Amino acid sequence: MNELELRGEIVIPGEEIGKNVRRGDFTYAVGPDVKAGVFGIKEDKENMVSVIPLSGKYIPKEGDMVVGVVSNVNRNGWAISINSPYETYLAREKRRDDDDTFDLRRLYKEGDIVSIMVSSVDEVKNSYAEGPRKLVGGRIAMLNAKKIPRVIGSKKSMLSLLRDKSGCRIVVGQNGIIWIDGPEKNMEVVVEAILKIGKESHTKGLTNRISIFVDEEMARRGAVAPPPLPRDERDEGYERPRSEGRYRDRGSSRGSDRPHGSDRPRGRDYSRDRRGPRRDSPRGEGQRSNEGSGGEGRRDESPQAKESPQGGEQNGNQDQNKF
Amino acid sequence: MGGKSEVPLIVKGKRLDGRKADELRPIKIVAGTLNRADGSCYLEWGKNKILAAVYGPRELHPKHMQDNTQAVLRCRYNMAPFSVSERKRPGPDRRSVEISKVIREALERVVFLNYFPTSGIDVFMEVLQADAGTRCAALTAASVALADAGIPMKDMVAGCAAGKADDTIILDLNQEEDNFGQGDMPMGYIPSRDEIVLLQLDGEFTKDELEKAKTYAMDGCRKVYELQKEALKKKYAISKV
Amino acid sequence: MNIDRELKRHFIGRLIENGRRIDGRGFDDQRSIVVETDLIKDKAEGSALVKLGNTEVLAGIKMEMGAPFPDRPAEGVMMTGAELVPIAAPDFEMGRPGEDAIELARVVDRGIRESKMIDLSKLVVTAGEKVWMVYIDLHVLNHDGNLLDASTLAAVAALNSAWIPKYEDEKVVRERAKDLPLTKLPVSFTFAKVGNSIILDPILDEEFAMDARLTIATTDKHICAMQKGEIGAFKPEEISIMVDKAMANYSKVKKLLK
Repeated sequence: MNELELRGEIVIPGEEIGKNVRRGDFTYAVGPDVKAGVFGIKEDKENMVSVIPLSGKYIPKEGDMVVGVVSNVNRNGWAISINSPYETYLAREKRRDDDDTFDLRRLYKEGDIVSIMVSSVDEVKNSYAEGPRKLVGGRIAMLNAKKIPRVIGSKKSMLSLLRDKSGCRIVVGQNGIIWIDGPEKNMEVVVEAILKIGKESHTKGLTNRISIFVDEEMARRGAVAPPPLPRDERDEGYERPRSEGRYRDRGSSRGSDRPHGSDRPRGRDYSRDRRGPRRDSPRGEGQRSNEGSGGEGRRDESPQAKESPQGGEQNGNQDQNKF
Repeated sequence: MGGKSEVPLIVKGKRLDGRKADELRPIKIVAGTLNRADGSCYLEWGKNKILAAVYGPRELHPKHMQDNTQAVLRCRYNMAPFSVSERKRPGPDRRSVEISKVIREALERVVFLNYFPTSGIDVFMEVLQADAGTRCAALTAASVALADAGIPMKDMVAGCAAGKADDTIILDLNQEEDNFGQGDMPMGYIPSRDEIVLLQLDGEFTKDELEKAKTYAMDGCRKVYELQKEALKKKYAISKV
Repeated sequence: MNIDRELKRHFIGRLIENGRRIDGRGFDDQRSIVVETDLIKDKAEGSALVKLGNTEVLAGIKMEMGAPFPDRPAEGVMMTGAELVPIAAPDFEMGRPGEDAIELARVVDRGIRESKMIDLSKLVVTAGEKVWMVYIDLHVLNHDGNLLDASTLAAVAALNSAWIPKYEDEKVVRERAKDLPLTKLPVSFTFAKVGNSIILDPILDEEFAMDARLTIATTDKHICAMQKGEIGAFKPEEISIMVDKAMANYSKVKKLLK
């Protein structure tokens, strides 16, 4: 009999989780006391205490790849709904020879499902995105965005096992929307596995259990992983297997510890069906090298950081991107 | 609510339902019972049955209601038509609107609204069966639902009422005590911060009686708070597989 | 725009075309059904909570004294209302009932009324002046598809365990005088058409993909109400097939009503 173990202590908002220590995400201070600012799991690392929320809505962050639905098209671009209080916006690339009567719906129309990368976010969380890809066919699994790091796993361990065992293409949106494509039965297994990860995200030993689960479910359905297609590396493109919940301060991580590195060409026109040949448009390098330097990494400054909201305590977070 | 009732509400130190003056009714709290809401809480308090749900942060419409600096918190307390002895016509009445307001003001104290500019956070409380003390029960359930939704907050708010019957200060009035007693004082309190964020009173209290009622209510809130905490932790309690 | 709907409707349609449903059910299978009565036993004269999969509907019965309809002086009055309260789904709004809530209430009412489930003639206190008014109030708590069947079942289960209060000295005394006089127990079955396939008891994701729906309320011998919804169309043969299936499933669901 297995006993499921918690990954860490469950804390509730207002619970004291440290004294005279550095504060991480989702914490606030009352004098020397550090308190939990959300319902989640306490994380104690290197003399810093933070809380990993167990649930919560996705808030757009620069560098995140997300999966969404085109909600509105106008002459200048597309609004994309990403299951967040905040939509993101894909601006059309204006080229000199563009004629204004070009209907953007010919590229993406309302209801199309796309993967896209959030490229900038302002203080009221308006965000722009780029690198769109239409995702056709397949199916969707939805999960609370806070559980996505578990779907990816440390060093992508969980995601790799899902891909390898099922033979499916899996595009993981940081916003909790996951697109899967492959044989019907195999996709079913992946969806079941993802839902199971969602239910048990707060436990230890999950990767092993999921590995066994996938094997059993594939066998039960008589499903076989097809021979691997040439890897579509764009699926890997924007995934950052972030350690659970922590968002590194962008100012100090200019691309060097980003797994996909800064030498990968970006800014290509991905607006074509995945089965077509890769069209190497040469806009690559120049575009993306700005990624790390959009101003000291865009610190997602909460208006809060400058003043205490109600009462005397700080809940802005000096060294970390907060909430 | 007026002077002493005809039927004694307290006999030999015991109330009609057997409780002592400072005893709470039995309370059961379960977090996360609805699968579509972002956060939810089902609560039974004596004969009260309340279901609270939170949606948010989410896009707020109409646009002119949006606040560029923080989320807008909206609360709606609503009673089901069958929740009371004489059927209540569906829809908000003046009492529900007032209760919604004071609950919202209590919760605004603890939610970190400025992290979600322009968005809305909606808190809905449905009273499925009512037996006095519903606003405190609803506030209690709403706090748990907000935490369950992963909304960043400083702490939860616990609700509890104290009152007066037969010239005695009592904790947590039930329906008869509320109807025939001499006063009712609902309170919302944050124990860790020693802050009162909801307070109403109707009836006739002397200054001393008021002090005693305040102490009773705060104590009641502290007990309720422990139950709120337990409900959340229980949601992720590990059982053997 | 409902993002859930947009993300799901394409592949749901495809699954169904390939003979599969998202939760693995057969086309003619309902989800698991749980009926719990008397949840509101301290204030309502009858109540039932139905869980149809994750869809949850609470029905409450209140008995009040009132005047009969002028054209039916020797009959009690039955009224059904429904509230799609905002806790139940992200797109349910506060405010007066919209067309969905009204349709829900009226269809549930029709199934119960036309089957003559309640013997209204036995609810008269003084003919032409005082009769019992049976208020059926549906409170949708969680919407995961097929509110119609869950609501009808909740209403019928609540009525099945409801009682009439005493009426003394011109006042309603909330104590049990006797059971509500019932004759039959109707059950409703809702089918969804997705592409060319017909499935029973659509879950919410399937409702995103459905073109048309048909609700059939039936007793053991009679069909007593039907309602077609959505903007698609049914072929005449399809109607007959659905009616057969509804009647075939009647006794299975009726067993849940003690």
